[in-house]
Amino acid sequence: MKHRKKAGASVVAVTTAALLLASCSSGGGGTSSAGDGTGDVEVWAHQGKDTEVAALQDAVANFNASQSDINVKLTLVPEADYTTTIQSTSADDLPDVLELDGPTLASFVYDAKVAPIDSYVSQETIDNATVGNVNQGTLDGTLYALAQFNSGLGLCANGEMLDAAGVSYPDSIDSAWSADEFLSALETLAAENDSGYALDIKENYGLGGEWGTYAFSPLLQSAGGNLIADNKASGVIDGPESVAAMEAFQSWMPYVDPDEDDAALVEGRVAISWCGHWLYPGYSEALGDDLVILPLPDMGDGTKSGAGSWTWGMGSTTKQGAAAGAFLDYLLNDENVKAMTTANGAPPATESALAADTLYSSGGPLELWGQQLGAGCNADSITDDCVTVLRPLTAGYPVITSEFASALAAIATGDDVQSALTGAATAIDQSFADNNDYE
Amino acid sequence: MTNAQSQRARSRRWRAARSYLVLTVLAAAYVAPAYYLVIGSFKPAADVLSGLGGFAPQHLNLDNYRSVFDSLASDSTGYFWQFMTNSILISLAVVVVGLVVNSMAAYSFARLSWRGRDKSFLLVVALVIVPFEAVAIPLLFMLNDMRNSLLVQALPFFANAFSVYLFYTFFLGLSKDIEEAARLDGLGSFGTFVRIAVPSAKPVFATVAILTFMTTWGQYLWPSLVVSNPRYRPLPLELSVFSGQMPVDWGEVLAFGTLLILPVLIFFVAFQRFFVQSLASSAVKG
Repeated sequence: MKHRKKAGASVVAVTTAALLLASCSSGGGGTSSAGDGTGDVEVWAHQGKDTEVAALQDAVANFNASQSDINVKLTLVPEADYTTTIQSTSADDLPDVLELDGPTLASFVYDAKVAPIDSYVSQETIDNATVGNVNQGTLDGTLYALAQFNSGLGLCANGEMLDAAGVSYPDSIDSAWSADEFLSALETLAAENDSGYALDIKENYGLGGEWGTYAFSPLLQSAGGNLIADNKASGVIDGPESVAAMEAFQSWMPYVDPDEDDAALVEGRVAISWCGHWLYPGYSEALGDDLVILPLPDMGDGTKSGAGSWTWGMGSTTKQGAAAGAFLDYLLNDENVKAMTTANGAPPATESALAADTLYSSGGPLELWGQQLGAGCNADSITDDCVTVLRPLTAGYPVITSEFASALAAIATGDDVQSALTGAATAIDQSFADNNDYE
Repeated sequence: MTNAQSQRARSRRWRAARSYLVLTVLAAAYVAPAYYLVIGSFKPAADVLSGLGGFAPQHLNLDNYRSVFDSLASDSTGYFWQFMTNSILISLAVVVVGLVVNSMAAYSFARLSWRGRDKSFLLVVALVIVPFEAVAIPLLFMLNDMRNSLLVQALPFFANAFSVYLFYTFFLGLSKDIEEAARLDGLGSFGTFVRIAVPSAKPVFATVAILTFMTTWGQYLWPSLVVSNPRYRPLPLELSVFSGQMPVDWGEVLAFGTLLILPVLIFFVAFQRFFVQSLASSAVKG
């Protein structure tokens, strides 16, 4: 087992090193040009759910059929390998249009692999993007990417089980459970359930991966802590506020179902699930009117939640900027945003599509997540009013998420909170020091 | 039969029973994962991870296989049979070229006299302990211009130090008398290698072929670094289509896994007779 872990670690280490070196070698950057607005446009995207794939393929086919000047060629790369593929491809070999996972955008800007898009995409498209969408795609005042959809994160709960256990629950952002109230609810619910569990935190997704950072770093920010501030992690990710948040998280673990079959909530083994928007369709079908959507616990500074998702940018060496921009305009119109968000259940990232959406707009079953997204901010400018916090927009994000998620996984299995977070802080600071703060 | 004889017979039977029991348990431990893989590939995802129930052959259907083929059936995703063909071509190329190159190198080390031979051989043997991960980065830079091709996936694996070592040990054990007789009959070094050494070395050729095929077939790290175009992707990279998304549909993962091991199984069955011969002769040689 140890041997396997070592082998796995060495593969990861080599891949990372190769990618870093490949990034360094890519050089270039800033050589994009508009072209004449005709010809082939190469597009790369991640191969996600079948329904998402179909929506994107339809969009490309419809775009190609709608005009004769531009021909889009779509290539799909499996989601698990997608970011690695971009990292290991030199800038010259990247396509005209490429999809990017939001938090990785800064590292691709740093590697000079993506081009600013504001001169290629229409102003109408930019103006129609939600604030969170623009924030996610903007670095140092330059717009590099725009998304079709955002993401929603909160608690999905079985209201009938909460009522039966006599647990009262919040009905708005402002009335989110405090950390103590949440722990008390878990104790009560676990005692009432034959399974002995009360909470599903999607351990089956892997706390040591991106899910860990996306889903649980908002706890730090809700407690007044953060992942990083002013390019320093020490005293922030392992500061007293962050430590308190993670100690609270650790105290919930005895009530957590491992959820190996991804069915803890629908089978009634737990009453509460730490929940992303993609789970809503399945939960809604299984629980019907009993499903209630709640904000994440308020650790002291107001409830905070995650945001951000896949977004669209352009390769830094594209010679087809105008044609690529025309395709992005098409991809971000209401019809295609609706088709994609219908396919994956995500909140639309354009104002017009969001206003017309029946799930997230006022009165919809996911209105609370819509409200959360309406109160978004960047990780370096968190206010009391802010609810959804974007993951840090820095080229050093890969090391931040890797270290935090590893610490989180260790904390979940009982490691000392302070030591785990301090270890993460040291590693992050070292990486920033080694890379001139990724400036 | 005396009491002592009867006791000895009982004791023998008891020992045999114990041996069979241990062997049965060991065999079951080896077979169980393969059985689970195959049986799970025919079951709905919810039935796969149901504890020991996962071994029960119930609710069997072909839906997972349909999903696998449907997910890889367009120009943008690439096609399942295209990935399979890529993997077969890459693996066969590495096996065929590898057998030629490595056997010739080994014969040279074992039978020919040339300056620096022993030191060169030591260097080759030392390469056995260098893991591929250690040379992946330099290779990536050296071959970056060949990205997105079948050749770039095969080229680094043609020459293989371990294969050279296997051939070398075999050629060392070959009788020199026949080779000397062949030379007296006018055969040169290459002729002796082709007509005398190679025909005698079928078991070791089979062993190297099987080991090389299995290793190449399962390559993941290298293709993930050098291939992005679906047209050139090998089959193992596509596993992440099914395992890389949450929630994981384990039925589809197992169906893909079953399809992934089929060619290896066929290759092994085709060459296993020689493989067993090779193992047996190695065991005899001690």
